[in-house]
Amino acid sequence: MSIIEVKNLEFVYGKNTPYEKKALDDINFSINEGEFVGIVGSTGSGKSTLVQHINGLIKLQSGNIEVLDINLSDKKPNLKLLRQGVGMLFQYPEYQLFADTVLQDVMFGPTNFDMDKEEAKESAINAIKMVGLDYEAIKERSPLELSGGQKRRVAMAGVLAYKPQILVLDEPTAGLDPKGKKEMLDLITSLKGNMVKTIIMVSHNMDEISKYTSRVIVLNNSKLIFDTTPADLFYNNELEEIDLLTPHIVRIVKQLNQKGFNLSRNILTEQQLVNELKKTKAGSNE
Amino acid sequence: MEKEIIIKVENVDFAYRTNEGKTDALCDVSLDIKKGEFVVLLGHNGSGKSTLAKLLNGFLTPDSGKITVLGMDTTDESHIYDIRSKVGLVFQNPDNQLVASIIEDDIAFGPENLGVPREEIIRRVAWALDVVNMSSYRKHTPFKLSGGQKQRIAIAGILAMLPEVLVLDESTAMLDPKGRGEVLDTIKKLNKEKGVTVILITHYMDEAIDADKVVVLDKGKILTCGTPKEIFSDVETIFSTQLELPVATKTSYDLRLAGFDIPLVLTDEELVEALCQ
Amino acid sequence: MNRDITFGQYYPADSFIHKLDPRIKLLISIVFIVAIFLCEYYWAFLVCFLFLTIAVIVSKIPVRNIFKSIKAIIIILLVTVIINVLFSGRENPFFKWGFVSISWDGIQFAFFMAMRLIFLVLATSLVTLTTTPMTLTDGLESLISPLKLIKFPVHDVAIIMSIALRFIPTLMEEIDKIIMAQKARGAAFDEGNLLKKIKALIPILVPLFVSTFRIADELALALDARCYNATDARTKMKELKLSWRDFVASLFTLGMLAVVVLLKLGVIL
Repeated sequence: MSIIEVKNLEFVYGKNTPYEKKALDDINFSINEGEFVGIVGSTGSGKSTLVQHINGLIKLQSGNIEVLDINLSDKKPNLKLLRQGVGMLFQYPEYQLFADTVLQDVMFGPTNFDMDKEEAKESAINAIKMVGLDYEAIKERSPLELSGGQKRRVAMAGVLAYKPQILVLDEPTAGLDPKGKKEMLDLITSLKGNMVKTIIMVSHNMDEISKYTSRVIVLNNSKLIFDTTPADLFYNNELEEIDLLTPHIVRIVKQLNQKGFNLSRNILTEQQLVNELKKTKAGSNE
Repeated sequence: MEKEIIIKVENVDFAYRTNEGKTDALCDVSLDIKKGEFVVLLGHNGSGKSTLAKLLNGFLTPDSGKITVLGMDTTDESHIYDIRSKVGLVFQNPDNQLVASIIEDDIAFGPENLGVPREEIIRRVAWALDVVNMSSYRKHTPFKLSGGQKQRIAIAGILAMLPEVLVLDESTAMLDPKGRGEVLDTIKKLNKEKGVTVILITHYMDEAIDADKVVVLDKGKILTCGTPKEIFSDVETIFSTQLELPVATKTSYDLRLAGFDIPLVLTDEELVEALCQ
Repeated sequence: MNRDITFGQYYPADSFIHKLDPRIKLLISIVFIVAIFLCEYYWAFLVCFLFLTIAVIVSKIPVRNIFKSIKAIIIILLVTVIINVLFSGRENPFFKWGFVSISWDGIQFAFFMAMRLIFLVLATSLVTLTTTPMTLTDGLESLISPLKLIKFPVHDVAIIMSIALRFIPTLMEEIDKIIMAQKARGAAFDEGNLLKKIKALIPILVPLFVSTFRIADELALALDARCYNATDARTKMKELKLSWRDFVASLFTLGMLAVVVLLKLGVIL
C-alpha cells in the first residue's frame, strides 16, 4: 500500500533571480508502508530538498506529492495532519531543544498536534523510555545541560511522542563516535519493528545504508538516478563517479571476484563474507 | 638518525572544574612527539583526546605534570603566542573557525595578528591556498563552500602562520566522505611533502592506517601506543575500547578464527591479497 | 531554504562611484548631509538635487533600486509632511482652527523638510549600494583609527563588525533550520492573539541563543589559535589607497558645499 507517492517533482531555488538553482528535476518514486528506505546523494544532490517536501515544509512548486492520502497540490492541504503523520528528525537535532525540562520538550510535539494533556504526557514518557533514557532521572532536568548523545535521544523522543506513522531521519548518526553510531542504528531498527511502520533515512554513510536499509534511492545533481536494492546498487555501479563511496565489504568482494573468486554479489555484511569464504574453502578442500 | 622530540608531554593530569564538581579528563599521560611524525590519537568521545589537543598549544594548562613545546613550557605566559603560532590547532566545526567574509582575508588573519610584514602576508596567503588546493576560491565568501572545502581553508589559515605542528581536533567528524578524503589527503601531503608534524585526533580507526604512530586514549589514560600494525593487531585491546576496527581488519580477524592462514591486515587491498595467496 | 544572500543592498556594477575609496564615500556623505541641512531656499536645494542626480547617474545603479529606499521611509515622510503642513504655518494662514494653521510658508517648510529626508536617504543608500559591507567596515576602521591614541579599541571594534557580517548568513540559515524543525513538530507561528504569537517564538529564540553562544565559544578558541592579540603591532594585508577619483569626487563635493554656504550667507543670489 503506497503511502508516499511522488510524481514529476521539480524545485528551483531563487526563481527569477540571478541565483536561480534547480534542486530537483523530475523526481518520481513511491514508498509503501513497512519499507526502510535509504536516500543517498552527495552534498548538493537535492536530498534535503526532497525530504523537506514530504512533510510540506517546502511549498510544492511543480509536480505532485501525495503522502498518507494528503495531496500536497491541494489548495490548502492539511499540513497539521501531515506533519503529525510524518515525524522528521533533522541533522544535529539536539540544536533544537528549548524547554525548561526534558518532559516539557518532548511534550511539545504532542501538544501542538492537539493531543490532550494526559495523553501527551503518557506518550512523552513512553517515548523517553523507548529511546533508552532513564525517565525518572531525566524528566526534570534541563535538556540543555545533557550530554550530546542524551540530547539527541531527547530530540528523537520528541518526535516519537506524537506517534508518527512515517519516520524521516536526516543523517541520524552525524557527528557520533563508532559506539554512538551503532547504538543509534540499533535504536532505529528497534523502532521499526515496533512503533513506527515506515522509515526513510538520509545518509552518506554507505556502510550504514547497506546494512540497514532494504531499498536505496540515489540522487545526483537534482536527478533521481537509482532506485533499487543496496546489493544491486553497490555491485552493479561505480559509485565513485558520483562522489559516493562503495562500502568496504563490497569493494573486497568485487576485488576478490576479479582475482578469480566466485563470491555471491549479494554480500553486504562482514559475517556474510566470512561465511561464504568458509564455504568456498570447505568446498575446495574436498 | 634519531628524530628530535618537539613536543614532550610528561605525567600530565587534568580535570575540568565546574560548579557541580570535578571531572577527570586526563590521568598521568606521557607522550613524545618527534619532528615530522604523523601521529594519530584515537579515542572515543570522552576519552580525553580533545582535552589533550588543547593542552598541546597552551589553551589549557596541566594540573600536574609538564608539557614542553620546542623547548618552551606551556605554562610560561611570555611564550604563549610563540607556542600557538608554532602549534596550529584546527577544530571540528568547519564554520566556526572562519572569521572573515572573504577567504583571502580569513587566511591573512593569523599572520596579521603576528605582525608579519604586508608583502610576506600576501605571499603566504597565496602559498597556503595553493597547498590546500583552494587557490581559485580566494575571493569567494566562505558561506557557499562545502564542509571539506571550509576545513581546508581553516587549515590554510593556520598554515599561513607557518606552524611546525598541525593538530587537528576531530576535524573530519562533521564532514561527508568526500570532505574527509580531501582533508586527509591534504594533511598527508603536508606531512610527507612539507615536513609538517601532524597530530590527528579522531575516532575513525581507518584514518590511522598511514600514521607513523598511533596512540589510543581510553577514559583519560593512554591505553596503548605503537605503529598502526601493532595497534590494530592487538584486537582484544581495541574491543575493550569503544573504537571500531576497520572492516578489513575485523574480517581478517574473524577469518583467522575460522582457520584461515592469513595475517591481520589494515586495508581492503591487503585482505584481498592475503586471501589470494 | 537556500538563501544565497549577499548581505546588504550592494549592487555590483563598474562605475566611478563603486571605485571610490570607502572613507571618501563616508566623508562625502557626511558633508552632503551637512549641506542639505544648511539649505534654506529653493536654489540651495536645487544645487543639492543636481549633485545627487549626477552621483546617481554616474553610479550606473538602476533608478528602481535607488527608489526602493524611499519606499522604506514613506510613512515617516507622509507624517512629517502632514504635521508640518498642518501646524507650522505662521504667516497669513488661509485656514485656522485651534492649533491647526495652514499657510504657504508652512507648506513650503513641509516641502523642504521632505526634500531633506529624501536626499538624506538617497545619499546613504547610494553609499550602501556601491560599497560592500566589508569594504565599508574597512573604511570605518580606518577613519576611527586615530582614536587608538586615546586607547579606544579600534581594532577590536572592527573585528566585531567584520565577524558579525561574516556570520549573518550563517545565523540566518540557523534560524531557518530551527523554524523548520519546530514546524515539523507542529509549531505554528501565525495563530492566536499577540501573546500567543510571542510565546510561539520561544522554541525559536532559545535554541538560537544557545547556538549563538556555542558559535561564539568556538570562535573565541579559533581567534586564540590564530594568535589574536599576540601583539599590538598588527599589520594589514589590504590597504586602502586613495586615487585620482577620490580627489575629483572630493573637489566636486567641496564645490557643492561652497555654493550652498555662499547661498546661505547671501553672498550669491
